Amino acid sequence: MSDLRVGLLGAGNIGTVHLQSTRGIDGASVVAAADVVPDNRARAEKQGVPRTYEDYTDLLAEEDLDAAIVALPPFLHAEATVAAAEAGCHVFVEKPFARTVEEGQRMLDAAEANDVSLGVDHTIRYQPEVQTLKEQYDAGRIGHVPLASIARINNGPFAAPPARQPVSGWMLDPDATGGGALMDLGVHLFDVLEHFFGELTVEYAHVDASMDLPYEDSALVVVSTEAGTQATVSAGFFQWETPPEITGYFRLEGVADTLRSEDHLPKQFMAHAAKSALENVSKRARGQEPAYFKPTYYYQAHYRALKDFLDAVAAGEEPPVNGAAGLRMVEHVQTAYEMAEGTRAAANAGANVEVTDD
Amino acid sequence: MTESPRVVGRRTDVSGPGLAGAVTDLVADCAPEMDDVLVVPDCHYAFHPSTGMVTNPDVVEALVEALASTTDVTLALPDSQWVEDAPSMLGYDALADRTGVETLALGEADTVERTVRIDDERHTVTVPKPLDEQAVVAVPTLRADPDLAAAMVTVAEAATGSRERSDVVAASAVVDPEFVLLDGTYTFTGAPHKGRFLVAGTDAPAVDRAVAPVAGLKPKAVDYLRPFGVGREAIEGLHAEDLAAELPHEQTDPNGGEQPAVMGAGYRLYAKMTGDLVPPQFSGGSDD
Repeated sequence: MSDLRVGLLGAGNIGTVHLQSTRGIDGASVVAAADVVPDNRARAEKQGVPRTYEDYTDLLAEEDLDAAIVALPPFLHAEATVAAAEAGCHVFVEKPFARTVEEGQRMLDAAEANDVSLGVDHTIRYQPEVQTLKEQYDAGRIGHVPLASIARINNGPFAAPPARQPVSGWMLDPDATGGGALMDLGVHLFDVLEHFFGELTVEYAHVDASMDLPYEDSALVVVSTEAGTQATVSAGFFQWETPPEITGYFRLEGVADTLRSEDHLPKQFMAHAAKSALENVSKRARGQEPAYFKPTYYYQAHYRALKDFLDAVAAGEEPPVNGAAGLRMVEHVQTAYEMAEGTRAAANAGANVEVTDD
Repeated sequence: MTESPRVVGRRTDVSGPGLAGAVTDLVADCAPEMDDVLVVPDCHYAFHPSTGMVTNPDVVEALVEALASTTDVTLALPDSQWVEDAPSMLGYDALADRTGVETLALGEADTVERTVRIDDERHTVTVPKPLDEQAVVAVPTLRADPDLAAAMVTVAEAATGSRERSDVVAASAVVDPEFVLLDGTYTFTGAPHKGRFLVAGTDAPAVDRAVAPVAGLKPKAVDYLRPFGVGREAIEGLHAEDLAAELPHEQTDPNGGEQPAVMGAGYRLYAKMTGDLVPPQFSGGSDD
C-alpha cells in the first residue's frame, strides 16, 4: 500500500510537532502544508515539505490527500475540519476539538456525510507515566478506585519572566479559544478520566480568575464515572512553567493502594534526556529505529497520538480517540461552565450552594 | 554643597489599612506639593502582582486616595508591548471605578520629541506629551529580571516602551518624576518575595541607587545609573542590607526557561545522527 498523503493545516509550534512526528511514522508523509505566517511555511519547507500554501483552502483544492492535520487556532477547527472532510480527508484535530458543542456536532456531521474519520490530539493519556498507571489499574493492582484527582497547570498564554514575546490577541479572546484553562487543559483531563473510568458526569464546577482576565485561569470540577470513581479535575493558567518541568499529576486512590503519576516520571529530565539520547545513538549503531522524541519526554505523547490515528486510518479502522470523544470532552467543559455559572449566581444571591439532579 | 535628595522607607502590610497608612505617611513626609499629577505604575505585562514583577495595584490605589485629598490625580496607563490590555487585566479599570480617578491611556496621547545629551552623545526620545508637561508620580515595583527595573525603567517603559540604556537615561531625564513611591510589598529578585516595604523619594535615580543593593546589585553595576551617579544611597528608616538579606537572590533565566540556541544546534546534530525527530524549540535556524 502506498503512503498516506497527509496535508498539514497550520505549521506553527504544534504543527511542527505533527510534521516531525509524521516523519517517524511508517506509511505516512506530509505532502503539503499551509500557514498564513511566511516563516512557518519556510520552516516546513526546510523540514522537507514539498509544497506550501498560504491558505489551507488552496491546499485542499490543489492536493490529492488521504488525511489532514488541523493544527490551527481553535476558532478555525470547525471550518478547517469541515473543509477537509468535504475534500475527502480523514482529519486529526488539535485540542480542544471545538469551541462549542454545536461546532463539534457540525464537524461530526461533515465527517459522516463524507465517510471519513476524525481523531483528536488528546495527549495526556499517551504520556508514558499515565500509560504505566493505566496498565497497573487495568491489571487490578490497586483494586476499585473510589477517588481520583487529576491536574494540569501551566502559564496559559503568558510567559515566565522576563517579558519577551508578544501574546497573540486571539489567545486572550474567549470567542476565539472557546474558554480559558478548563477548555484548553480540562479537555485533556476529562479524556484521561474517561479513558480510565468510562462515561463521566459533571457533578460540580467552579471557575475563577486571579486577575481581570477575559476567561477563567483556574477551574475545579468534580465528576462521577461509570466505574464508580469520583474525581476532582483541576486546570489552571496561572503558574510559570519552565520546560521540561511541567505541573500536572494523576492520582488514583484505590482500596489496596495509591497510584501516582509522579512516581513514574523521570527523576531528572536532563539526565533522562542524556540517557535516552545515548540509547538512540546505540540503536542507530545497530541499525534500529530510535525511540522517537524520548529525550524530550512529553513530545512522545503527540507522536503516539498521531501514530494511533494514522495507523487506524491506514487499517480502515475507527481511531481510538475519535471525533465523538472530542465532542464529549467539549460537552463536559460546556456543562461545567454552565454549572459554574449557576454556582456563581447562587453564591452571589447568598445561597448555600447545592447542586441537585433537577 | 548640594544637599542629597531624601530617600525614605518604611515597612508595611501588603494591603488594607496598614498599607494605606504607610502610603499616607510617606506622602505626607516627603512628597512635594504638586498640581494635576499623573500616577504611573509598572504594568508592563500581565504578571500577577504577588510576583513583584509589576506594581501592586493596592499600593497605587492607596496612593491615589492619598494624593486626591490635595490635588487632581490621573492614572496614566502605558500600553504594554507584550500584552494588549495588560493594565485592565491587572485591575486598573476596576481601581478607577472604585476610586473615581480619571485614567489616561498613554499610548493614545500626543507625543513630543526631546533630545538629551548622554556622555557627550545626543539621544532623542519620543514621549507622551502629558509625561513631559505634567507632574509625574512613578510607582515602580522592585524587580531584577535579571537587570534592575525600578523607578527609571518604569518611567522609560511608560514613556518609550523601551528599557534600553539610552532610552532609560533619556526618558528619566525628560519625564523627571516629582515623586517616586517604590512598591516593595512584593518584590522579584529572581524569585517572588513578600517584601513588605515601601521606599519614597523625589529623585528617581536616587531611589534606584538606594534600592539597587536591596536587589543584590551595586549601583555601579546598573548601567543606566552612571550618568546620574552610582554612589551608595541610604534609605531613612530602613536598612538596605537587612532587606537584602530577607530577599531571595536567584538567577533569572533571560529566556524564561526556553532552550538557548546552542542547545538547538546540539539537538539537531544528535537528531541527524540517530534519525530522531526535532521538536519546535530546537528547530529554529535549522537548514535540515
